[in-house]
Amino acid sequence: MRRRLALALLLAASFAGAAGAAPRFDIGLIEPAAGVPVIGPVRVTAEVRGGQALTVEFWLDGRLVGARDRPPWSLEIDTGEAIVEHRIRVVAVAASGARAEAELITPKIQIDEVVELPLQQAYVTATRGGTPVLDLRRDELRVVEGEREQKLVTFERGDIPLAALLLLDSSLSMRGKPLDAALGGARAFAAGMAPLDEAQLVLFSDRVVHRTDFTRDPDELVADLSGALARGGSAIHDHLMLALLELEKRQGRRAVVLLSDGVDVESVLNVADLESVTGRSSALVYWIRIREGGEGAGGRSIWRDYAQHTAELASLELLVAASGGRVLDIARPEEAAHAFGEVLAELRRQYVLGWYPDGLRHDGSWRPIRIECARKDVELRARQGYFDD
Amino acid sequence: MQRVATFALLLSLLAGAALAQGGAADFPPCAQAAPVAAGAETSPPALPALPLAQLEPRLAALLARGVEGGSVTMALAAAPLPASALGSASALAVVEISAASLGEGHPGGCLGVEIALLAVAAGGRVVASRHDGVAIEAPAGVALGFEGLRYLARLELPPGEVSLRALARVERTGAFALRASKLTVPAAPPPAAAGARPGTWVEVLAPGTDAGQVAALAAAGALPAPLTGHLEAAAPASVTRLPATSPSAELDELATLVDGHLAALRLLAQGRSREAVAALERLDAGALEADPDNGLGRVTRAGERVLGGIASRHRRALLPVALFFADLSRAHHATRRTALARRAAIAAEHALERLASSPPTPEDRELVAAALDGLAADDLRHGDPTHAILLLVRATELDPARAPRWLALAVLYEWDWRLDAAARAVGRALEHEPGNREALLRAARIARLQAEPRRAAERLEPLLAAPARDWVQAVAAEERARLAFDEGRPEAAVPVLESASELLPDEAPLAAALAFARFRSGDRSGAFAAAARAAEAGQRGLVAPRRRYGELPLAVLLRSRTAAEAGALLRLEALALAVTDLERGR
Repeated sequence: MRRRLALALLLAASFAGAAGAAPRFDIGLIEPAAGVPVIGPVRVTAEVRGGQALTVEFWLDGRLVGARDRPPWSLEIDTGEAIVEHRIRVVAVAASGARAEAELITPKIQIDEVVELPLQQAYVTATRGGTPVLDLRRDELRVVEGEREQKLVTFERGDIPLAALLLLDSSLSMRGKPLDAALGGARAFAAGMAPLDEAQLVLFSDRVVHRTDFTRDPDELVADLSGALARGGSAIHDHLMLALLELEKRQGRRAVVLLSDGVDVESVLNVADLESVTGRSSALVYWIRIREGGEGAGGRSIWRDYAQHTAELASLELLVAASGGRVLDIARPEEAAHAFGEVLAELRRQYVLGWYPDGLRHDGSWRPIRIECARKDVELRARQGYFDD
Repeated sequence: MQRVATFALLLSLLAGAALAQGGAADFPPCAQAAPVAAGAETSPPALPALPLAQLEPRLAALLARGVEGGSVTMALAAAPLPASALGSASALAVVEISAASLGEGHPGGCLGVEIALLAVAAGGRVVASRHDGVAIEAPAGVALGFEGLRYLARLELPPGEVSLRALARVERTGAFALRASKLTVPAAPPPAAAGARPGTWVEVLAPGTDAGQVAALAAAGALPAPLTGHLEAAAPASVTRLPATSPSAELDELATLVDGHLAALRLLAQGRSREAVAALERLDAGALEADPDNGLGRVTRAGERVLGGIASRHRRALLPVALFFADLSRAHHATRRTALARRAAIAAEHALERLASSPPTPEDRELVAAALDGLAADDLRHGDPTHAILLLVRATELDPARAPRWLALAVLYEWDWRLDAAARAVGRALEHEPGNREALLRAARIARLQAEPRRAAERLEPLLAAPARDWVQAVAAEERARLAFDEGRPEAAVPVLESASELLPDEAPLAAALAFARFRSGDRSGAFAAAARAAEAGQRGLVAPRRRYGELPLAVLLRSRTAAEAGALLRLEALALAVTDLERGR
């Protein structure tokens, strides 16, 4: 999706590092980074050294905004919509009563001039005969929009932090073993998260039945699931759209991992509607599809007949592929954990390419993307285009 | 006393009502818990001028005549209470209704039950009555999570013998039951309690009923115990085995089966419908087991012979007979005897068709159509919507003025994707009820699917112009949005969805559609706000409106069946005569 970057002149950027440390008990701020302006939801992470803390308090601009009583000493705080100076302070209290604190003043920015630089990004999975190819160089990859090659401005690979939204179907057809297996898959995903990854878990049927906030704490992600029940019809399209919107608010590499066993029977939206959202998002969509009994039939509901359901399923598959993700068919619910692990591994091995497209017209037209590799027999998978809004 | 579980419950005229444990104040009131008028009256001059003005006339007539019957599993017991200081006598009536009966077709949420009591003294004088509404907040399905509802009410009575009658009616389905019991006031010592049925009961004391007195009775082991459990356990205990058949014995076999049918119908005519069904169920099963090749044909012929006899002499009796066969079919389904279930359903259909073509009175037509609705409901439950459509088509021929039946037929056509037929059925519903909101919505949606967006928008217009807080409003707004999305004008959907979301803040799909419409209109922050609301709303609502739109029309068909059942009970005298005639003729 298009990003508006502000070329800005940084003015008053002052920074106060870690407060004077006590000899044995100390706290430091790991994030946000010093000297970087902040806006909106921001993750504050502290590190306690030289002893164990009973509690860590988080302060923003002189106001207590939260506390943690066990590690990780991390909290997401809302810094508001304006890019102004903020004073972020963390205070650790030890069992002995000793206190330590650290403070960071984030800079405001003054915008002299705004230039639109719609950076486009693509997350690329490279394989040869099904085996990941992990050693591609920047000069071996080419991005072509239409017939015009684009100049790569960023090229990264490896373990880049990830924002994932795990979207689990908990409609009635998932009752029992399938839902248990889906939750097991979510737990497997949580267990594989890297320290800077963040994820949100959403269980849905014809409504959201359970959801967490985005968190970097794997335990928090899968806490309180014992009461999860499968019920109601399934509105996949509506919830996939909501998931994509939710991810729009996150930074960095984003992905939706959908697990479902059936067809959408109750969404207001259809797949064509979804295309207009995925085509404006850089998020990857993965679909772990439980297909017990082999090829899934389209089914029938009062909202769509058999042919329409079948067509919608096929369209959803195409949409997933167009996002750069893929469909993982599993024959039994028990395979869900493995599938989640496979998705996570794939996300970790992706290349991230960035470029500023030339010739944009801002007319809402579709701009197809083709990514080419100079090395032979390497298969690439990435998003297939975007809307030029 | 059993404990009251986590079900919200509201008794009409709640003041003074007490719960065995927990308090009414802990429970959120049900949305449709409108109280029904209650009151005790004494000495109205004569039947049928009952002091139960809000009861359906047909049910009031049943209560007046004290004809036991109905499909709800229910029991009644009563015990005299000690005389008061003023010397007036009173009795405690206990009505038990099984959860299985209450939960049938219940989609979750508010479950309303109407209970009427009537005490009739010698000479037909009404000496006491009351009429209460009970609302229970309960989860969906038959397994409500409790054993049933126990309703206790005190009635002031004059000394002497009275016939106490209780009628319970489930609000959503219209299913009812009537039970009668004899009582002498003041009493000899109260009957020993047979022991309350274990489990969790939702217990309600009617206004004016002293909780302390009830507790004292319970402590003394003198609380009447109707024991619905005994009724439910009255299923056939054994299968009657018929002797093996030789060709020469065929006529005897058939005669035995005809006798068996008549014996069952005799029980039915006496208001003992459960026993009648159980008896014929045993007979059917025994015939089939004894002779798997010919048994089915034989019971079919026996049934036809009995039906023919009744049709020729006492056509009015065909209605209770038809409903009896429908009950029998359900009983066979419950024990997975599919062939016998089918034969009983066909017998029911034949009986109704005979009544409808004999020629029918206006009342016959109405009741046959209602009974056909009931058979259609059975077909839907057993996965045969095609046959249900056939039955409803016939019902609409016989009684074409009922909009709910046309709508039910439209829903089945929609499920079958026969859009032209669905449009015609909805059109007929609108002829009879031009302002029917559900009919307007279905007409709009069908028009959209028929690629007539302008007509669809016209149908939606009155719904959107006069908003209501119901599921129809939610789906109507979504349909209007769908039209806008299909036209490529998502911005046109925004105001419609905003209004609807404001009206129905708990409807997550509306908020989701609004998020999409705003996103496509370039309002990203508005989209994020609506998306957040969709996630929040999703954790509150009950039955999703789009799910409600697709629900099979069981509730309306079951309500209709109830009307037929009430009509059938009023024809039991005709059945008694018919059975007597047929027995004499053998």
